[in-house]
Amino acid sequence: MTSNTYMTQDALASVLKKVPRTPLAYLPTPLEEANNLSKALGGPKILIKRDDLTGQALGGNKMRHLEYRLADALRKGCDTYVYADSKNAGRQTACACAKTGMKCILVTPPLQRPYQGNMLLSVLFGAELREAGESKEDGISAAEQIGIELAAAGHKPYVAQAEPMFHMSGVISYLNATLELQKQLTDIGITKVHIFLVNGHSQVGLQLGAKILGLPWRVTGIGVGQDFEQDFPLTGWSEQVASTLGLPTDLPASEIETTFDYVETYSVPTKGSVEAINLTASTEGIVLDPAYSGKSMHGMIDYITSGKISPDVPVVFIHTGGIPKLFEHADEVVYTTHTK
Amino acid sequence: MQKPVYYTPEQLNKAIEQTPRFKFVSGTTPLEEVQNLSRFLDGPPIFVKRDDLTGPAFGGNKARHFEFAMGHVLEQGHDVVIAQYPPSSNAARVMAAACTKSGVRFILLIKPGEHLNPLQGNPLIYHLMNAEMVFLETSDSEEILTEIKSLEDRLKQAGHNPFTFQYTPWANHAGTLGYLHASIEIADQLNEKGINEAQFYVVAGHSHAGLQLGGKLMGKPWHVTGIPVSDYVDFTEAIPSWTKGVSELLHLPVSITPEEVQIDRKYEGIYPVPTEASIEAIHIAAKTDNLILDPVYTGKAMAGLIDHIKKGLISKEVPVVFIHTGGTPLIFQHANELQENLVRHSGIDTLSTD
Repeated sequence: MTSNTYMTQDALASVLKKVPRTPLAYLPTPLEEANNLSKALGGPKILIKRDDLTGQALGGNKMRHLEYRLADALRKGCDTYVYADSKNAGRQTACACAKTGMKCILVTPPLQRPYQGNMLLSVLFGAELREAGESKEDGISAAEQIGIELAAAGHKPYVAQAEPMFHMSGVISYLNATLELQKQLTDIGITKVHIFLVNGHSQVGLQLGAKILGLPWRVTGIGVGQDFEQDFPLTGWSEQVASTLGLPTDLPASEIETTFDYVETYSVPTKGSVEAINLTASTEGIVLDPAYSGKSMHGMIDYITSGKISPDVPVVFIHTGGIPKLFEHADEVVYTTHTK
Repeated sequence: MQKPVYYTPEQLNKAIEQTPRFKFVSGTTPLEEVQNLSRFLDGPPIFVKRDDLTGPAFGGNKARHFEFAMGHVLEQGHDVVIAQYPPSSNAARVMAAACTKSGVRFILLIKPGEHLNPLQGNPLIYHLMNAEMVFLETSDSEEILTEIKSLEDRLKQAGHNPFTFQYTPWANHAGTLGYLHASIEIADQLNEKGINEAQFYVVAGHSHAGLQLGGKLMGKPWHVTGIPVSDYVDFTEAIPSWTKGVSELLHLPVSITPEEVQIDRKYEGIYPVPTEASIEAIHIAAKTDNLILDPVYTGKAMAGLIDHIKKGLISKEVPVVFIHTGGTPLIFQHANELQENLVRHSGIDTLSTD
């Protein structure tokens, strides 16, 4: 089967070049063979795309997203970046702001003291943390309120979640990552792959990029929370990016593959994610976290061991980072391994 | 003054290739200019060699060291590596990763010291990487040696071929070779930026030795300053001896003499206790250019660099290269000390619960 090719790589690259971008990530990230893991699973060839090595502040996929978010904020002349998050995205945001000299306010749920993991790093990067209610909605509305107060005091706030670029940046940056990955795969003579990653913006970017370039890639997003259970946000983001950039196509719901079989509860480690962390660490020396990449690895392992996928098609695991989370969950990770 | 050139980078590379290497580092690490830090200190241009990004298990300089240690282990057909380290050592973490990746069993002997409960930072990673941890009851090197001999005997009787890292010349060869090799990569990156003369700052140790030897062999006007983080080793003796060892191994024309070793011991404090200056340096590096340093190693080296710049001890014209040797997990182990400093200096209290 040959897929439609909507654009050449060069054409896609030149469209992407028009979007303002602040360089923050070290690219390209390595694409490494995980032969030991593959052997342990009796599975296909496994490649790991090391987006945990995007470089700044323990890296992660968000550093790619932030190149576009920060560029958008700088272009609009903003001086304060307001963002409701206390996790990996918050940490990478604090880092990106430090690098670009923009003040960063993170709106968080009530936090345990002393800080550990992501929020420890965020305060080191000079971010100001303001605690709001427990829920995500509480955080977002508090961030909007802070934005209003800052504007009234003569500042120029950038309230990240209220900006159209917030979702678009994730998709656009992984359209770029599609070009990067395709080149790396070509260099080692691989065309057809099955990609696994945490579901969300990055997934949409890769799926849309593969479709536009006509690549025989299957992309499976592993849900780690309930946020994106509806089809709408993912198809909506692809549509928004396609219409903004003038891309020739977007993604209908039927072309986005996501499973929520490995979530249990958002941000809470599962037995499967902890086992996946241990297996990846003890075969490859690569560290995952229990809330995100551990769950997506659990999904990939399950697809391989239960024979849901062909042993002949190489698998690419996108390591989206999130390592500080591991240290926040140290006791759970160890407890489970002692009792397994 | 023109320095003699003994080897071109290609010749040096060829000399190093005489010894086996297990490729383990994820490609070339970035050499990043940190302009905010340089401006903040009103100092020379500063570049950071990001060897915290060597890749495996939080990276660090040891990944370069153990490429050569594991190369030797695999060439000799060893199937078990035994090594002893203090609790929460970065080296042990990367050794665990190197053994995991190459399929060799790793027995980690841990000297007495403060153990973390629950496991955090580096020990958490040893655990994940299946290191077989043996907690020693003594720090006495004679007694440890006896214990290791008996462990080796038991392993041999069971048909294994163990390799005890610390009691071979490879304990010193590996790190020196790792940075002799890295010196070629750094010279290349500096070349691309049009930089010839440079002032290096690095935690004193094997990495320092290899780097300085590489610079000398390639005739580079590099000034390497090592910042010790403990009083365990006399580096003015050790560095010449380590470079001599590698020089003999690879038949190199020179090694480093004691007069050539530049060390500043003012920042070492007590190992492995963070110093006030190292905590301060972490805050400065994080806030200016979002570098994550640790309070036990790189924080102390950075404290040395900052102090040298502030006191005008180094030229403002010659670019500085700071070798970021990694050690990131330690920051999570020292979360409290870092936040005490935050309260003191900025009034932001992230410690108290009310």
